[in-house]
Amino acid sequence: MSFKPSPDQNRFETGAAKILAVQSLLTAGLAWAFYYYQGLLAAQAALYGGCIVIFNVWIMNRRMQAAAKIAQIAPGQEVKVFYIAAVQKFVFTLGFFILGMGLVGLPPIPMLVAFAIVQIGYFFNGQGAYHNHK
Amino acid sequence: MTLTPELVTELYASTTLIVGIMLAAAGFASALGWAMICSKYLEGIARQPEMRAQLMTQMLFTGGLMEAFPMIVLGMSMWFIFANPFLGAVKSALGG
Repeated sequence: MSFKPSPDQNRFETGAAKILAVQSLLTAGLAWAFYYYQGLLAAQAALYGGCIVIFNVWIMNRRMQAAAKIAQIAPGQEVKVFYIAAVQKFVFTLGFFILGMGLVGLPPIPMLVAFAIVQIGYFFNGQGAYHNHK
Repeated sequence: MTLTPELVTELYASTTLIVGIMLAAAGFASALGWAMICSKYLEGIARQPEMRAQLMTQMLFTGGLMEAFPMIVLGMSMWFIFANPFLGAVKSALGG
């Protein structure tokens, strides 16, 4: 299965598809493990923690696509998009944690463990990014 | 000794202080990390301008990986604030 878009799509290949795939697998695995050992609520929390990371990567990928387009029109202006992406990422993570722990009342430990472990998915970006030629 | 409102207030105040210190340290480390990554990115562009697109992708995802640690600290901070584990520990220690 190829994650590369066809050339006519005019997309900037960031390697995010591979990261997202690995992170989805890690999230599913962790949710299953927590379900097996601690029950449904812990599994839900683990799933929620993993999905926060996946959402962050998705947002970052979208911003990178936007930045690549801006860089073609006005080089140097794409930095603003990255600033927005960093702020967005922080705000969304904070909001999701407040929502999960404070409002929904999910158990914090499975959520944090899943959140930390799913970050490993970032290590799988190398190959996709190096095949990126524009 | 019982779990008085003063004790709970003191516990929450201490937790908030610790959370503030944790977030400050995480923010400082994150800023330092971003500064180092971006400086290397700019050095890379200066050496090989044609590699800009690849370097940018690498820079952002390395930044994402680096930022994972402050984000984990952020998550722990939210845990301490919204589901304070120390309160439960004090309750069980006091037998209440």
